[in-house]
Amino acid sequence: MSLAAILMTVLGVLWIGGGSVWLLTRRRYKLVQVPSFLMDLVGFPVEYAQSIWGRGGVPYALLLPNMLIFGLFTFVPMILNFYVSFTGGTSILLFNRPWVGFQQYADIFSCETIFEPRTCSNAGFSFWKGMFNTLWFVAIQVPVLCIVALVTALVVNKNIRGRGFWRAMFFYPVMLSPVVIANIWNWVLHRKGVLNEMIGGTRDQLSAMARMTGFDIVMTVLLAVVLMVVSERALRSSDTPSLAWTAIFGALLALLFGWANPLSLIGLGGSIWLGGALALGLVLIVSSESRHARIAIIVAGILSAVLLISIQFDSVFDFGRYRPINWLVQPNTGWPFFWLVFVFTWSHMGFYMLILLAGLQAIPSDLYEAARMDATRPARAFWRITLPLIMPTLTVVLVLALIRSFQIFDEVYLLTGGGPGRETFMIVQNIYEVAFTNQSKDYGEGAAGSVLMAVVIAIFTFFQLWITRRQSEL
Amino acid sequence: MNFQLRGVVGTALFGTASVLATTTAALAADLSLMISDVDAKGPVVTELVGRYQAENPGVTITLNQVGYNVIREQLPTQLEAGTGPDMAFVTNLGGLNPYYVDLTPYVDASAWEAAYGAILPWYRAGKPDGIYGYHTEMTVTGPYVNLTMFEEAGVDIPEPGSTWDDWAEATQAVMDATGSYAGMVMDRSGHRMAGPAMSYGAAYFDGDGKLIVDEGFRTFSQKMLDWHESGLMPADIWPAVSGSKYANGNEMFFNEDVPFYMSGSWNTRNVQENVSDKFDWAVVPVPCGPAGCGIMPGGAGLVAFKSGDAAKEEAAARFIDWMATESQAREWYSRTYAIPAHAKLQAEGLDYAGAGASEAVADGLNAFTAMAAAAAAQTPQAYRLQGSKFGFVIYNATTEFLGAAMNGELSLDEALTKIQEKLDADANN
Repeated sequence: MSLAAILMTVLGVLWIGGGSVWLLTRRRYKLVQVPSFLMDLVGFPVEYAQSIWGRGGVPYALLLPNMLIFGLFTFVPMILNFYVSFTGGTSILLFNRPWVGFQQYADIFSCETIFEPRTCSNAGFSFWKGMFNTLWFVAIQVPVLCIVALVTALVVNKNIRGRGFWRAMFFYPVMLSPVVIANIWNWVLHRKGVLNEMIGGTRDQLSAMARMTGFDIVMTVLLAVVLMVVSERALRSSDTPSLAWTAIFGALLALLFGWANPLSLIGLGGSIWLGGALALGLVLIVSSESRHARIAIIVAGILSAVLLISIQFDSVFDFGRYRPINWLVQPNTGWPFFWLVFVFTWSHMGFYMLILLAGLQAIPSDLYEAARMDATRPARAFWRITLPLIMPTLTVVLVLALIRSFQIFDEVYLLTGGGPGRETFMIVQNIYEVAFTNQSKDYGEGAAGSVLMAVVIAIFTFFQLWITRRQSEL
Repeated sequence: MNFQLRGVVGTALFGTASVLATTTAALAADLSLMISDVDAKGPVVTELVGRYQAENPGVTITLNQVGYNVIREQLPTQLEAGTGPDMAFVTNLGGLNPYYVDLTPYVDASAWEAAYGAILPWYRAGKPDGIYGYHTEMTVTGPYVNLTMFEEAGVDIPEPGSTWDDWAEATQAVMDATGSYAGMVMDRSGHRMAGPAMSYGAAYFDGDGKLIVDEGFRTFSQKMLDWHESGLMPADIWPAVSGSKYANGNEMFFNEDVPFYMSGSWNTRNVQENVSDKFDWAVVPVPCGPAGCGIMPGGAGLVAFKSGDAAKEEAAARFIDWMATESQAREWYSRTYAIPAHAKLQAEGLDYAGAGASEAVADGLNAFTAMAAAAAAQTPQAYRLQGSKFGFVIYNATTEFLGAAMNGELSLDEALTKIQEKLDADANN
């Protein structure tokens, strides 16, 4: 029988046996009072505590187990960890570990330059690689998470159809275990996963269509019609052209540039970027309400027609054999890191969205009504009303996201295992592997790494406290 | 009435105490056995354990099938913390020696020496004597080839004695012709790479017996880097994983993503069960280099761990002794398609086909045995490395830092320097 089982048995015997004896020696019960005896038995520990410490002491007595557990499993390990970081050897037993002073820290800092981990000792290489990856992840992840959560909160705060459903849908991933999340996205992103199947299938179908007779003419006519409709919609308004339709028109223009590849005529590549730049310029002209906006759209329309005629759609859509992309394992492509940010955002965004939603709902609606009466454009209302009033909530979200992102481990460990190589290798994983999974378990180095990480998290925590205090003072 | 209630409570307490006492007595010979689920040996162990329990009603053995990573990475921590199992199938034979129960008092030592004498030193980690484990499998690293893919591509299988470069050329041709995902895959393990590196002159030990990386090691490492860079070897195994983690290429071979898979003899049963009749396969002689045709011998063993409970340790030792007897060993080696470590069984040979093995499996095991014999003469350092308790230090350092070099995080020079640093810190000090 395990120690835990013995303890539970002893506790049960003491509660039931001891409680029964204690109650029966103080009170008399009739057989019909068995239910009340059982209720007294349930409340026996509190009653017993009151009899010992009196009514005033009971709250402290009840807090004691929790404080003991908290102390035993939080504070004692912290102190032990700090001590272990000054010891060496391979034994897990504290008293068998020799005192080495700051040696573990010195090993981690043993680098020609810390900013180039490859110049470090083995201990420093893994630690600093993990540290810089984590900082980079935090720098990318936090703004992305905050922006996506804010945009989502703004959308589900509108009176849209099925609002409750959408709120639940965006919050749903928060309730999933990291293991489930990692498995789901592994199915999607695996070399033979859903995403590659979809891309491969679509490419194959398009390639098959491209080989059909008349495909080139049909595509030319179809796109010509689409361009006409979109440009007409952009120009329909009597005063300034529609910005939204111009943006769509710009996207089509960029696409046509990419397909027609006009720069190839002078031996250059990058036509798609030229198209993108022109499309962006078009959108800027329209958004600035320039008097040349309509002319710019017409010129772009003529250019589109010329490009359209020059495109050979059957070759554009002949994709050939698809070699699946290894989204999570192909090194030096940036995809593993991208998907890590994406999955982390998907799985955590709901929580932050909910906080922001509460902040948005606290903004008085009469402010928006006043803005509407003044014919304020929605974008201006967002910048002048929503954003300033949501800022305190947004700050809380920012700080929470910052700390959570810094602690990332489970999702990345399950999704990429820190790979490829060390592209998604985070600091917590380094500490875990150094201490527990490497061939020679280096508990001292792991402890030193965790102390250094605690310092960084402490800096973020103090930052959070400072921001919160500053806001409460404003 | 008060007395009635007291009577009821008293009876309940007595009943609880009696049940507890009975349960505690029944758990006295309860043993746990950890086994890797990677090579499909679980069902055979389950059956043998069931038979042993029927013969020994006082003993209960609970099987814990885990991933191979757990045995490699977590078992040592569990043992250090005193929470390990009573028995396990391990591959780090010498490295875990401090935790082994010495079976000598519980077994017929002379019979064990006669049957397993050649292998027992691998478990001793330099100690002069002691019987620490039943070698459940002699293993030899070597390649599996998808014959169907070669045939479809119209590429001839390279002749025995062909070099790694010849095989790279041939598998590249198969890859080009069939559109397969990659040409060659090797388990992410320094053990798997050791044999080929020895073929290119890697000595692994210097004159003082210290572990080293040398020019031969560098030569083959460079080839590995080149093959991964060109896509001949897939990014999914060596570059994909972080640190020194193990990863195997089973799925890629089973799914016909690669025509050539560098694995080992322990995998034959797994290959047969998973490939079935999807394609024809064979074990081919390991590719060679200027210094020979290197493989790594090795294997797995069933060991008992110290628990401080003499009764449990004895019960575990008795079970291992039972497993190692000739009749059980014959059945075990035959049914798991393992090369026997038992001297008499080695000499007699085993009837794998009678145990359900296909012709490919039987031929494969013979091919592996032949490779081991050749390597013993050409690359004897392989046997020395297998006997070293620091073998896993260089295996893990190899995967960790060569993996980093494949991802461009380190140059090959930097990776080799870091491997040597690791060896000096953890093995040569």
